[in-house]
Amino acid sequence: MSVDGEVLAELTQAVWESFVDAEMPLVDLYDAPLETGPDGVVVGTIAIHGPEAGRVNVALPAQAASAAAARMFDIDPSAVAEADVHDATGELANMIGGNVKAMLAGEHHLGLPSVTVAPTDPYDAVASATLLWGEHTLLVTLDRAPGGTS
Amino acid sequence: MHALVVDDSRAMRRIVAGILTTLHFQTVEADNGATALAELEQLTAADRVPALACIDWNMPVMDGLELVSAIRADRRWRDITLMMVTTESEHGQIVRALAAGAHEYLIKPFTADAMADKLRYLGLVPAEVNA
Amino acid sequence: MTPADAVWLRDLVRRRSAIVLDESKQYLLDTRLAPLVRSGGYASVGELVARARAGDRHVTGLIVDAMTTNETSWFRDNGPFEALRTVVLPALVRERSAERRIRIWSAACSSGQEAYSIAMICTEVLPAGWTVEIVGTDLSPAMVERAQAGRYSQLEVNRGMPAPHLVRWFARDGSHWQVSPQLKAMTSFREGNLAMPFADLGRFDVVMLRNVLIYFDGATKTDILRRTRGVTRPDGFLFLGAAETALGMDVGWFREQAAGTSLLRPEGATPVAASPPRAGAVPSPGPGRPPATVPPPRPAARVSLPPLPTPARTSTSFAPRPHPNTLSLGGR
Repeated sequence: MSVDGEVLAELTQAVWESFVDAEMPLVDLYDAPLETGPDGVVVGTIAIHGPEAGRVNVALPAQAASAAAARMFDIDPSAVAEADVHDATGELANMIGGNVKAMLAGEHHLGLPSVTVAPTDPYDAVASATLLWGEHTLLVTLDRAPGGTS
Repeated sequence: MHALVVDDSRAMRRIVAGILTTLHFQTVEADNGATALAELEQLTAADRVPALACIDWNMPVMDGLELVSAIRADRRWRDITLMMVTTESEHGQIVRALAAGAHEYLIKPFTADAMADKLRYLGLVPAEVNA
Repeated sequence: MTPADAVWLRDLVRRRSAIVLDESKQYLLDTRLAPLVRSGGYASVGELVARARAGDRHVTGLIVDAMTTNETSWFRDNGPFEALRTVVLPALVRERSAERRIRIWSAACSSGQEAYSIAMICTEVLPAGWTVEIVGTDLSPAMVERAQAGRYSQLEVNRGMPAPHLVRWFARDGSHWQVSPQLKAMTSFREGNLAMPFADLGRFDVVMLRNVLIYFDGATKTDILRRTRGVTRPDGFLFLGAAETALGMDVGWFREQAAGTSLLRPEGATPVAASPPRAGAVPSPGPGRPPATVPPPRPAARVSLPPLPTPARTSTSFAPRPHPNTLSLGGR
């Protein structure tokens, strides 16, 4: 079993369907580019430590992150605060990372999620999936972070 | 009915507490096993022992598996239904949690309906209440 | 969607499945097709229907699938499974002690959860040496294929499956869970249209016909119940959905209560309530069997687990997707 783009897409779709939007499932766009939107990109990152160390990154346009936070926490879209976007994006990375971790052989553990408003360097991404949510795209990548060993 | 929600992720506590509130639970939150035990002591002193604890596995200070064992070891808390709510989904991990004394196991991600189903089967939510 | 679209859709579904959606079920058209509209990038249900009406067979197939598949979960509604465990199967163990063989039909089986749930219960309740054959049928070839595969996503196994059953009967397979060979050996699945004659099905001791009659009109319901009577053994059992009544259509059947669940029996059958007491009739689960509690009525003080197979784990590693991806984070 390997963690490839198919698996990343599938795990992300399940997380999305459960906690963000059951009515509008994510459509797999394979390696289509991320549409960044006018307000920049929010990136949630979580490190996986262990023999197969890596990082899972979830990048989405700021507007999409805000809309996702509103749905995840069931709050009015106009009332979404920066902290909500931060929590929601971090949790998306956390959950996808946790599911990726569960598929790896051997002892692995997760770091704490971090959220940035600028793209991180992709390092040597080994798998990626671009997904479409309504008019937004999101990009989920798995990279081998340097120094991310147990 | 009270429920204790134990997760180091604030986002996940909000989601789980939100679902439980819809199912008519009053929720108390804790961010790791140790703070959960402190909350349980307080609730017990106030004669409000929760009927349910939803427990994440990986948390700092004291993890969910240790918390399950600690609760199972205390006679005052033997009526609390323990449900692990975690991304840990390996076959062997689920077996470990059940063997430690967890009654149910919900793998993240899960839908509100899936959580409600499990609680209904455990007799904690009436058949007609939906998430 | 225009009234003409709605008429066309209802006619399509009726022709393909004999399922009748009268105007009171208009909401089903909208709610079931909405995800298709969104995921397919259509502007509206109207546009989706226009595409199908223009002769797009793929879209037409998607519409029929969306309109005829049911949401499904493990041990759905629980009551019927409790009745199977505590009343129906024990009664059959008494009645079939000579042949030691039980056949169960899961009609409109969807992706197989009901059939496999029944199989799990049978392994708990039936004594060693008995044979169980569970036959699942569904209108949709896609569903039959899924049921045969017995491979379920994380989200699917979360729906209603008690954790002790999950670890007992499923092995992790990548991001999915695979049902055990033992349960698979007890089940078979094939295509079947309830509106057509039940050819080659044989006769059954138990028929599960749950949450599907709602889609048919009165005459078809009556006909299905009549033909179901024909494939049910004279002392068999028929389960309908919890909210379904077949009043006036259940000719040849009488209604009976078992463990709080209402079920239908062929006229002339001995009511289970009047059967000999079942004390001692069912052997307690032997070693290696799962705890006989689905669900536990109250949390057990301890969860006792059966010995578990340790599935061999194939090595997992990060691997790139077949087509190399260009990362364009921020690069546009």
